[in-house]
Amino acid sequence: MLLANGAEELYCGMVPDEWVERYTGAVWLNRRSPVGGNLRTFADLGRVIEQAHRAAVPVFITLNAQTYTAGQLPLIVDLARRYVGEAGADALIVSDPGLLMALAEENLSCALHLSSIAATLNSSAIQFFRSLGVRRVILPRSLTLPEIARIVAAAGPQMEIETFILNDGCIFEEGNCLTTHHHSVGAFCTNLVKMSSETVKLSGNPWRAGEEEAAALLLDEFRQRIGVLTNSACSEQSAGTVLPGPCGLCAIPFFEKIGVASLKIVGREASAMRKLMSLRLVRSVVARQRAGASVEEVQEHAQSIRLAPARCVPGEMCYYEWEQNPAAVERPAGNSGLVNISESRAASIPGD
Amino acid sequence: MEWAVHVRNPALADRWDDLLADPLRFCEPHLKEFHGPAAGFFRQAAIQSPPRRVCVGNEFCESLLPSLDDFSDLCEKLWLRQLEISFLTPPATDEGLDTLRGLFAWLARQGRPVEVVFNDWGVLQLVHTEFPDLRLVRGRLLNKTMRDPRVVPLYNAANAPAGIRASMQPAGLDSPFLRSLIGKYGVATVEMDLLPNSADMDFRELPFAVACYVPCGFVTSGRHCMISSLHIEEGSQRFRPGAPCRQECREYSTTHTFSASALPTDGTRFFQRGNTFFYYPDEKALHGFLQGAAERGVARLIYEPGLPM
Repeated sequence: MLLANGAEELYCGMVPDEWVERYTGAVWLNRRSPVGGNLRTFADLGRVIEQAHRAAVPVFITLNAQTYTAGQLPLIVDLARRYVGEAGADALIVSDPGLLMALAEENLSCALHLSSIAATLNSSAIQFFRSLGVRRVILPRSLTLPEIARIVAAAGPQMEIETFILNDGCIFEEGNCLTTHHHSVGAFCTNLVKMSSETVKLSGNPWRAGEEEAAALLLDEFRQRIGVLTNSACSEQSAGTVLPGPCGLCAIPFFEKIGVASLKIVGREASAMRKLMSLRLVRSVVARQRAGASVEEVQEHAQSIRLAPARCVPGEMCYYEWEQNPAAVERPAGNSGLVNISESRAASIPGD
Repeated sequence: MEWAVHVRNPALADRWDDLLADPLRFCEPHLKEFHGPAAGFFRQAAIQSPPRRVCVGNEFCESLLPSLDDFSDLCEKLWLRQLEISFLTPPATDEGLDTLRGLFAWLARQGRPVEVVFNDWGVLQLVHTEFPDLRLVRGRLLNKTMRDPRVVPLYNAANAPAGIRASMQPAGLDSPFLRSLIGKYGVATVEMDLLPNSADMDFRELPFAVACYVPCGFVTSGRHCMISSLHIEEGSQRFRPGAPCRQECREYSTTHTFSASALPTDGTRFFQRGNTFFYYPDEKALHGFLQGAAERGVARLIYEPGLPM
């Protein structure tokens, strides 16, 4: 389905029963629940990769927990060997520098991609991870467009840069959020919306007229923004529609111009229908871009097909701040521009 | 084992003697009940042996990076007191690195044994390649052990499945590969928060020194700061990464209470300042850790006079 609709790269996760038996479903191998966000067997994974390879589409596998303990590493490295050797994965998506070093020693016949969980915010960090064998860096959504442009320019053609383009925003920096998303408590950010809260002034000065109300309003708006960034991706559905989540679609001309290599559509735990709709949405905008439409035409098209003008046009659903004219940014020498659309591949197991 | 103090603003440096004599006085008024036990430990330790090291800076937000004038003034003030300096640095964009490069260059010119605490691998790379005379310390944001107080006490309980408990080990400290990485860059000290199982750990055999912050740790952080949007008109420009900041975090703090859960952790409080949320370990865990810290090989305790923003 995703291949037929134009995904040019796929990524997914696979959690074997062995991991769940050892660590339970509370400790996540790859930032997503074993049930619903992952394939379960090497046979399933092999079939996915074989099908993708027949269409000349590479498949990348997530091993992107923020960190692994020494006790977990032997199993993780063994899984990596099997993802590549047995199933034929083209790249591993990793964030833990310790695991990167361990994998470098394995000399696996695959590329190493750096997950956004590594929270790479600057060009110097790109140099650091290049020294650990990384060939592609997935930038976090918290960067602004000028910041991304500077990183891409400094990274040069030897390092591919991937950016998020659709779904599942986060109010925190994922790599520095050391909380759980486990269903027993829910994600901390969405849970925060339900907590009782009180703001105080640290100076001890009395509230000025309207100040306390302004602080309360700010908190309400912060909670609403969390809802837009997270829930609109998965749960705000009406009358049988599936509303894709926050996006960076209007930035596609900018990313093409500066030489971003790949655009990521996220949502491993989403339904197949939402994945398909998300892919079609991005493909539609990319097609305009590739057909030579102007920046304004591409952006107008993107906003028109989001079907959410109340949030889209004011920018509440935007990953990226819009202050810079994309046309003013020159593509760095050697960077070929937008080449791939990366789509998440779901588990096809009960409960998805 | 040494005690250090985080001097999070120049006013604390000016009142150094008061800080040692009555540390609780410098805590946010609404946090004194949480801060009290650690303040007591620190005060007793300072009477026996006054701390010789201070941490300056902030490891959570690049908007709080000081100007070179403010930074150099503070450092010189502390050096006059014969205090050693550890400079805390945050995750940084390239623009933040530009600022840090200027501060590092000034520090390097002073010819003093200054530590740079990095919480971003790019900062490590920058210091390693351009300022090799500065000493590197891995900061607590790079210790990625899950510390969500809503669940970690349950995951670390004696009756929790062994696999879950094993996963709560302070990550990075036991990874041979990360040890190798740290060795390659000459990192001599690794910092951490007081994690739920810290009191059970033995740090004596590690090939680097361990420093631990008390009493509060961080839960989550990011670039979408709530309170810095207070001066921004309602709408989509609020909570944007890189938005203009007037350091409202220095004046406002929000407490959130985890509630409406059947879990025994119901009632846990989170303390938001600026772009970061903090937690306090329970008093029993704090006592257990502090009383045994020296014997278990903790090299340095860093006292936070308040939430570190």
